Amino acid sequence: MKQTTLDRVLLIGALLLLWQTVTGWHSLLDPLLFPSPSKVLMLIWEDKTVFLKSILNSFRLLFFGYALAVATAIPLGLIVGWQKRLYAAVEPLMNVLGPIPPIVYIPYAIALLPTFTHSSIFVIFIGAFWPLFINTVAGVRSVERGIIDSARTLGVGRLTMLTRVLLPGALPHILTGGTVSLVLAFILLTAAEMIGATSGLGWYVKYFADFADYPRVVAGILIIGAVVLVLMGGYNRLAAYALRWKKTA
Amino acid sequence: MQLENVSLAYPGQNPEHPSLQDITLDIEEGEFVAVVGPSGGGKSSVINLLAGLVAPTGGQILLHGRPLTGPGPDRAVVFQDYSLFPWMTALQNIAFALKQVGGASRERARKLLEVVGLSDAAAKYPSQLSGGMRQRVAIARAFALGAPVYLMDEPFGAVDAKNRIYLQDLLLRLWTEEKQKKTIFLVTHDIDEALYLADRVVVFTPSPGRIRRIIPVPFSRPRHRSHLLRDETYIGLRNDILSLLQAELIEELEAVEGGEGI
Repeated sequence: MKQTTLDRVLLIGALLLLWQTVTGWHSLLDPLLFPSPSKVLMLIWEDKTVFLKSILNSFRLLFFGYALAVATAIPLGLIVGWQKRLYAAVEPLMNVLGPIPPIVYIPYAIALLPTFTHSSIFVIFIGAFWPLFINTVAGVRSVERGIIDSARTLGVGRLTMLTRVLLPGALPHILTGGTVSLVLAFILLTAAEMIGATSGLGWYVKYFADFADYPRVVAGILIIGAVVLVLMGGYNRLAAYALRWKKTA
Repeated sequence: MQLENVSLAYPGQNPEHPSLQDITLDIEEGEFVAVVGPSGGGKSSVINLLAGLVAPTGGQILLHGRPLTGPGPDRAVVFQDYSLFPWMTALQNIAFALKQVGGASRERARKLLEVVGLSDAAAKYPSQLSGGMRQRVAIARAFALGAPVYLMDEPFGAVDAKNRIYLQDLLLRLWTEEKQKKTIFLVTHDIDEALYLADRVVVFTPSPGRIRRIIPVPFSRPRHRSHLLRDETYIGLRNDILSLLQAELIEELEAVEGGEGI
């Protein structure tokens, strides 16, 4: 474990050194397009309040869009996965609507909804909805017959069956879908911000690209990378905790 | 509990070889009935029928004179596997069952775990328990329901020999200790287990699943394994059941292979 950590630190150090060498110390590349890491770090520090504000604004959109998807996709997925007749009816629809790239909804959402906030939340919601929904349905259908029989012999009611048996039984699938949803939601968030926002991480990158301020563009990209890293790290820890019962001693 | 000419054919199954055919069996209240037979002989189907998980395609099942309509907490079921919910700890599994019958109480759940000797495992998930421990929790959960009827589908089938003996005695202890004797319907492929535990042994033969014979077990309780194994009657009964099962196997081989290889 320690060896891996050391290797990783060394690799990142080497990459930074290479980057600094070709940009800062020797200026082999056009400094307008390829800023040195020290310059980028400086800019990140300089723009820290802008970044903080951008992150907060981005997270607001991401939170509402994603939460809306979680709150609808999981309950609907549980019901559709459980009711055979409903599943048979919904399945073709799922196969048609699911794979549509959610980015194509952006222009329509802008025309349809009054504000940028509404339309971006809507697009994030659509993008996050399908992977969660499809995986919840698949998760319910994969719950072992014996588990369901066991619950039925206890005489559990409908709601208890959904919340205490099917939901935890489908959870491994749901959490996999949740990862895809989160990544998609983030992609859509930044895409939407690049199109219509006046704040946020996507906006930052697009705004300074328009001024050909590429050092700031690179700074923005690095910040986005860091934000995604932290977000996914948090998600994975949460998922591991939710599935702690799967581990064998 | 009565089964009257019960038949069961699953959808898509050859109607000439249903899982069960013409099963008629009366089970007394407080009786311990064991079913033995080869695997695939429809034994488990009887459990599913009595549990109300499937409906018979012919005949009817009566519980206290009324037809059975579905699963319910008046019949506790222990399966060979899958009885427990893997996402609940041992204690939560029992507490969940208690809640279904309106008796939710941590204290009672703890007491039940204590009875099966697993107080220390309360906070453990089924994946952290051995097969034998899991079945102990499953039995504790079944008794938590306080149901008058217990249906057990090879509950000790996946447990090693030492633990099986422990679990059998545990089951007998719980069964005899209850003031109001429970009815137990146990499916097993272990003839010794059936003879040691049951009041009557029902011998099943496969395809279609039918009752071959019902044998009353004459030994008084409490029974002792070591005495039984030397008892002439016991050895006789054991051989009878064995030859019943083998005769059926031989017949089947004759039918399928044209008698070759016997």
